[in-house]
Amino acid sequence: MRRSLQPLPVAALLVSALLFGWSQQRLAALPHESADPELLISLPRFAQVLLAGGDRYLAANLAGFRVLVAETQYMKASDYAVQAKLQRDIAWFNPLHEDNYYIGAALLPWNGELDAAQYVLRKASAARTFDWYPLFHYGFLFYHFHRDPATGAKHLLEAVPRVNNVQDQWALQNLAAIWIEKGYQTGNAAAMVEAMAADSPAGNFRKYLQVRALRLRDLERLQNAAKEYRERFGRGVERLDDLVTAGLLREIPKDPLGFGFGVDGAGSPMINANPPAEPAR
Amino acid sequence: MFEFALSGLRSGLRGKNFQAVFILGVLMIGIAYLSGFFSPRHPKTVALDVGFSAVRFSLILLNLFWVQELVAREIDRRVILFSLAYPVSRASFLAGRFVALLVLTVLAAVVLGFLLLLAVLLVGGGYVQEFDVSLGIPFWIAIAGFALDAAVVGAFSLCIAALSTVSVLPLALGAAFAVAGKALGATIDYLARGADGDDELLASYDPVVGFVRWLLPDLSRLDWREWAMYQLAPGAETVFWSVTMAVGYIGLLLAAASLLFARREFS
Repeated sequence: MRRSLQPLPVAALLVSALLFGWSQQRLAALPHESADPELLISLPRFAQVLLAGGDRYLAANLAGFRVLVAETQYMKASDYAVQAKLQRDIAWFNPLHEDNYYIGAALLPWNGELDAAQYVLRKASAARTFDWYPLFHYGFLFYHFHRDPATGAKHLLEAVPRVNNVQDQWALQNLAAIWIEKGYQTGNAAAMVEAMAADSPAGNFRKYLQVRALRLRDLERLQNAAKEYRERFGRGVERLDDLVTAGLLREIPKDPLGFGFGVDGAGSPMINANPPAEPAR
Repeated sequence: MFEFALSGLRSGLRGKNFQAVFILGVLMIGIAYLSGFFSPRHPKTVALDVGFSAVRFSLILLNLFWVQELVAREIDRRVILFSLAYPVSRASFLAGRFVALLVLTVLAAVVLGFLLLLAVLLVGGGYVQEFDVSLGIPFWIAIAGFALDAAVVGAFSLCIAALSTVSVLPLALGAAFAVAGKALGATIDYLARGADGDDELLASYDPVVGFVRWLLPDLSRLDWREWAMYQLAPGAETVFWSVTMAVGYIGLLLAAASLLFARREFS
């Protein structure tokens, strides 16, 4: 004998299915709400170690994943401050962590976290005695951010014994010699950031470094034109437009990061420290 | 004692908890494999690093559940009275159970180790890391360190089971012991380096930690993963004294457990 279906459960099933389908359809049109997708908080080191079951390597990896999944293009200065804190913590949990020093070198100093970058690289240089990259990046911090080529070159030379092949040893020594001899040059800095970008895996991270390098190349072009202007007119530029008026440049390059270029007191082009203020409406 | 070890092995492998935790361990190694993909520069190292943490976590959890299964629950259900009715000392019951625990730990470590090895070999596709991992002897020595670490935690849990009248206490205290013992190294390290210049913290915690280190073993000393991950071999002296510390502590705990167990009355 066939059992007849109970009307009540069947009705409940239909109503529920309808309700579910309807809500899914409505939700598909609504954006996901979240407070702030990027780095919100960082816990004290002890809390992180305890959360990782006392395992400092696991604590380093957990913090490392947070740093790696943060989307740099949406990050603000306050996010970078948290990232700097996290990267310092990772350097303390496991100073040997390769991603940590690499990302620290590539992101932190460009975003106002020079001290944190120095800390991370110093720790990595001391722990990774087999690896010359941390010392190389550490030297670059002095060269580019402190405008101290002599100290930068000193760290490059420290890295030389760690290099396995003779060609790279020569290249490092050569670079150190150029830094000492010629002092800071924007083109040199750009070439180094280009090399870092070429050495990175494809993706947003590489694009980020490429934009940084492009910006330095633009600055180098402006500085070269300003030098020519001085040679031609016997004085420095007052405004960047002078370079266009004098026919030295077709147009002023646009800063890909929106800060723009300006002229310092000595009449040399530079990257603005802050983005231009929004025009009043 | 041999009989107790054998029956311990049998029920250890049959237990539902064992199967659940083992599956958890396998899943965690799967997570280790996936975590390798997060790393732009050293996917194999990150997978190995997370995998080592997973192996350690699983082995400790397994040990805690085995003690729960082989000792605490037997006491709880009064099944232990049948075991103690044999004309052997109570200490041999505990010793037998601990031997079972050790054999089970080694078995689990070997199986999880092979799974991790496979995961690390597969991760990263064709990407060649500049600094490769060592998956030979250094890898197995790291796994052995985690097994020894888990054995210390197992011995502690066994000691608690010998005197506790609440059956979940060995599990809870064992887990707390595992976390505290592992975090002790990081704490000592932090204080030894001047606590980031926090003199107040240093003044208040340094004597406490100085005292605690005589009670609690520094389990992070049994963590030799840097050899497999970064080719930085631990010093022979460090390894020797770390193993001695662990074996000494296990002996201490087992002796204390048998003393306590011998005086225990079962109603």
